[in-house]
Amino acid sequence: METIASVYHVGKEEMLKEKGFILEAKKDMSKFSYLYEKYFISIYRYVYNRIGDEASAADLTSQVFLKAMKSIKRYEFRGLPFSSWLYRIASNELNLAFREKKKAKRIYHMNTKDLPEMVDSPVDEETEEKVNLLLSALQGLDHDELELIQMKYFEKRPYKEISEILEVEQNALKVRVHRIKEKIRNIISTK
Amino acid sequence: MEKNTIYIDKPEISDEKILEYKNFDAVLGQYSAGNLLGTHLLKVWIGSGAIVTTVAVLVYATYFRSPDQSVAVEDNEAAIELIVDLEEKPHGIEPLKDVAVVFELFNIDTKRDTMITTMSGSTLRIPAHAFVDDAGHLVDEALIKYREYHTPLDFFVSGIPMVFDTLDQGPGHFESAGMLEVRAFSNDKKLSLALDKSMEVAMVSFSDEDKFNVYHFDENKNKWSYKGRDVIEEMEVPLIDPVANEQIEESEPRYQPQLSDEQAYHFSIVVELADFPELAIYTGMIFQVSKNDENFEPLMYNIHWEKAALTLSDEKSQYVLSLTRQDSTVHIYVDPVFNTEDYDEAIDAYNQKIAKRNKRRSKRQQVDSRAAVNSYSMRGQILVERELEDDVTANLMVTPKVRRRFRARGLGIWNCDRPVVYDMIPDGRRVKPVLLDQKGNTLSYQCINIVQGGLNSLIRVYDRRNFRYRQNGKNVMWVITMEGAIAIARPEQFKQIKNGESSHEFTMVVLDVGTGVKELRKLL
Repeated sequence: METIASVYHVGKEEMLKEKGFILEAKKDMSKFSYLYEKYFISIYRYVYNRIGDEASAADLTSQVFLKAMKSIKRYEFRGLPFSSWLYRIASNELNLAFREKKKAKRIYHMNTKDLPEMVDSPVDEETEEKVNLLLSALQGLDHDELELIQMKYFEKRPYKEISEILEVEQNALKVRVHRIKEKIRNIISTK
Repeated sequence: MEKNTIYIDKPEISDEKILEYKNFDAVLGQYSAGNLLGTHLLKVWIGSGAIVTTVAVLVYATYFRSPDQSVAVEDNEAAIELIVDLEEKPHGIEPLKDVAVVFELFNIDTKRDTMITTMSGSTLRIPAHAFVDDAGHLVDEALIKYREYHTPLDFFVSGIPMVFDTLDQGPGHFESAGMLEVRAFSNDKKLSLALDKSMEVAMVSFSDEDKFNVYHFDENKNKWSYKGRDVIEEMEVPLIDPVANEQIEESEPRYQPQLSDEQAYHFSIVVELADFPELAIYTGMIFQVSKNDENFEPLMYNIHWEKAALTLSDEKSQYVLSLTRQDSTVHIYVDPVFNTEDYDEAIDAYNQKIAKRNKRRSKRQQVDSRAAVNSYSMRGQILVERELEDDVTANLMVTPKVRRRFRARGLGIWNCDRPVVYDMIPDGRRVKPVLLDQKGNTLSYQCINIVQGGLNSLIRVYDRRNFRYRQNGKNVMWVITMEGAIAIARPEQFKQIKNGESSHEFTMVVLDVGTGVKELRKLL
């Protein structure tokens, strides 16, 4: 299965182009269409993977872009992809949504092929066992831990980008991931 | 623990499927509609506070509610409130009138050139026939109101915005080297500066750095307008410093008396006390060759010198004995010392003198700088009235370094500023602040004010996710609560933030405005 293609790694030229469109959009909001076109799929997928419903994901994604448009005059270009800011808005929107709809369950995605990396050792069991192992390990994690593991292993995001989205320093993230992996290993070893 | 829904190896939704939901025009339409409502929101929010905001937010949420509500639409109340926070913030805040820096008042005859000298030492040269009324007619007399803002606390109580917009970097902040506000009135009506007139300003400044620009605040557009660079000039007359002046007036001993060293070489010199008043309180004093004088030769001690003169060294830290014989002169560093029989008496004389000086200084400081200000105001030609002196004098306790000279082509607020990139402060670290009162209740507020060591600026942070503090510097943070109190976090509280902590709870000291401002004055 393919993982989400990260748009985080963009070249300097692309970044400057993006900056140009941001400046344009500050003056004329119809110019925001370039940014919308560029990031719609990524943001929708990010939201959908966490909410699990196509229509709700579409509405929430619209809200993300609407908020970005409303706040773009205050957007500070700091040499980072515009996507980081959009993901941060999306992350906040999701949190708000789940806070209000208390019964709604958060959804997470993982791939079995990432399990060896998560536990830092080869896993030789058959596929079905792998799935069970992974599931049991992940069920022992809380929301923040699952979110971080999902971003790191399923979505393959670099620490720098996760740092931007979650507003947590990279070193702190690395420590957290290390601890979560330890937790996963402990859960698996007790099974 | 509640079980999460975890999908393992689930096929992803395709790009084609996602694209079915793409509709930029719909989002743009929502933006345009929301923007109209947003303008209305701004007015009521600033004017009427939190209650009206809630009403406006509810209206907004209803406005966009569609029949087939989704999770996102249902959550609009909270979501829109966030937008208000981010976008509808005012540039400045309402000034705190009870503690605001007061104006100095000058009644001037506008038919002639006038030079105003303010209590701070700034000057304002106003040409003749400079002011016109609403109809454009020249007026004969005018009441000039003048005040200055020099510290972050001044900026805070004045409510003056310290932000500017950049096209590519978003909002920026100003660091100030001084700001002034000048207004003119005739019969209580506001006057304007005539189009062809300008005022020459020489504003005192506590920074002697030359990388500041001059900005004028455009009150119609609510933003700063760049006007050029200032010219720095040295203070030709030092401002009054009671302690420094006292040192010049009084004859005080430079050192505590020292006992003579029997192994050292000594000279007995009759000193003209009028030249060395600091030595006049002592009797039995002799001069000992300084241990630091590496050029002294014991042989010098045995020569019959024809002439001896005592002077102070260039740095005024040591006495120099110059001995002359025929064509040769030697200079010897000497220290005044006392033999045992005279030492105790010398110590007593010294202690009495120092005690008197300390008492005098203490008394002067208690009287505050009012005396200093009064004597300074004499330099002003037309000072006729003052409201509250303490606020104005607060800044005078520190001596300004330079004057900043520029030409003001309008009344209002002028600022010698330079941009600060808040995000780029070298040791700046981001943390989400959670502000609590002493009972642990979450505080409601509009924006966070933070002053960071080494930066003469007031940073107002509206988006708490973007809050930064200086890891290695002094930070003082405060907010005005929705109840109108000032809640303060002291510098030491920032030291408690742990590495890697993404959000931090601050227990704030909540005070009424008057007490809060006094507390801030102590902290800043």
